[in-house]
Amino acid sequence: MSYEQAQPDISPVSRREEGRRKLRRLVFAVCVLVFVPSVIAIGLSAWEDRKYYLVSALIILVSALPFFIAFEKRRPLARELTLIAVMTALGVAGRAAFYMLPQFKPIAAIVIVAGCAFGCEAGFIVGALTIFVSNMFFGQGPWTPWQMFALGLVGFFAGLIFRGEIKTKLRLFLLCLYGAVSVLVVYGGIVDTSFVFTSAQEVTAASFLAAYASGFVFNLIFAGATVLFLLILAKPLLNKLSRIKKKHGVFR
Amino acid sequence: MKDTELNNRSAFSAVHPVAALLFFAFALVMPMLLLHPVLLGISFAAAVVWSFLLRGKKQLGFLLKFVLPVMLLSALLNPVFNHAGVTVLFYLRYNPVTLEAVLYGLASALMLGAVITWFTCFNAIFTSDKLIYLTGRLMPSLALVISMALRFVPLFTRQAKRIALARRGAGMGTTGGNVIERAKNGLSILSALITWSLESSVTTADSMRARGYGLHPRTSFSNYRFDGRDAAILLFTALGAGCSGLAAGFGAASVRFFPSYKINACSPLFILYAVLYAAVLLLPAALELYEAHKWHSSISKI
Repeated sequence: MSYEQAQPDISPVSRREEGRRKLRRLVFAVCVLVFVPSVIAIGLSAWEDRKYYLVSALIILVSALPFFIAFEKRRPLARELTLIAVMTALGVAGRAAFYMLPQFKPIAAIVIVAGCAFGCEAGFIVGALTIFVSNMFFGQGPWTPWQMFALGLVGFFAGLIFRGEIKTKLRLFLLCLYGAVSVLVVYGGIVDTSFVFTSAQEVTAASFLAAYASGFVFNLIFAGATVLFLLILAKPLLNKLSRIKKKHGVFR
Repeated sequence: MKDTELNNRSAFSAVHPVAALLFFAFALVMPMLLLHPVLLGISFAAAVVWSFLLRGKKQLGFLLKFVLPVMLLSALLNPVFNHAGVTVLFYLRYNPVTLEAVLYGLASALMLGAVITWFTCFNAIFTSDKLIYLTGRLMPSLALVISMALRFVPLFTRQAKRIALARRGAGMGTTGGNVIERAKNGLSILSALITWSLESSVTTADSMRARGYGLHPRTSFSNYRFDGRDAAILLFTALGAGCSGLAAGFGAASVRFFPSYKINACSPLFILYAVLYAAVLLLPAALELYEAHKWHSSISKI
């Protein structure tokens, strides 16, 4: 029935595969933690002019590229692609369903769950594509690359920190805590930073502070929504996803 | 995103996506690179003209309700917070408001307006099938995920309605009850929907495999042939980009805001460049008008 079923766990092939996967994860973490800040530093020092938005958008694109290229190079199974598409569509539909409540969206919660279930790379892809696809409905703009990268990172770190089912209350609590912190710091931080660059004002410490201060309430609502949706959705959704993973042998 | 885009009458939407993308890249990047008020004005005007041709009356509302307030805000906020510059106009609560900051605010307002308006044109032209056409060559897996996600959204909506109907038929109504009961009902519908969509996605994947997914490079629904017109647009855009580089190199379009305002707007080289810049940016609008004219004259002949 399942042609794509991987070999049993004991075989050397899957062990080698496991090692390769660990290496890939390490490379990704290095990419994020070293590569991005250094590119930002180079970009800002080399282009001392006021071309902030362009430089910053380039930086974002360059730093998101390794994720997408690795995803392509891995030649994902058809089943993995469809499952990623389902999670993306759920995120898009969730954003559309709550269109009347600004910032109160389940997208971050869904992306975090996808990251937990499918791993960090798939988490990044689901996050970035949820934004990309839903912006096809809500309008693309200069903010698109930033939001894509920000939500992608939320999914990426979710996959890096949490992996698998949520069985204890403590883990659920930690997941919710991660949801709140990642939305406030990672998503909010990146998107608010982009606001400074897009609005083309003087880039000073004060303008960053102003952007973070004005975005804080929105981020707080988004973080609250994420915690709420994680409380409701995380456990049942993760159960469903791990059942699918076990049954069809994907994302192992 | 509209579903009826395929029979969109816009002439530019028939242009090859690669040529169109490069044109948009040029139109979007130039205002960010050159903060020259005249060039920004040209860019903004060209974008407004084209967006009106594309969206008609809808665009007026968007312009008045969104673009102009954003521009106004940017133009006003800059002199209030930015005190650089040597020409003090007046003091606002002991802080100097300078001419340079006012001019810089105006320039950045024009820049914002131009970029936002170009993006509305981009959204009208770059429908999902074009984005997938472009990504399909470079990143086939991602393009596939995007197109499947786009397809799943209406599918899930329909399936959710079916599940609700089935539950109502089984006596588990979805309409009555207080907020908590309704929320619980909604959650059970969501739960059934998620299980169904996960399972059906695996079926989809098996079906894809059975039909030879991954054996050949991906093809896409929309086919575009790169014809003479696309080449002309591409060439013209490249010419514009090249001349912009030259103009920047020779300082023909230079502008300085701080500490004192200095602009190069009268040299013959600048005027030549500005005319060329306007010609490139007005290209799509001209194409729309030309096609409309051709269409109308072809009607009258019959």
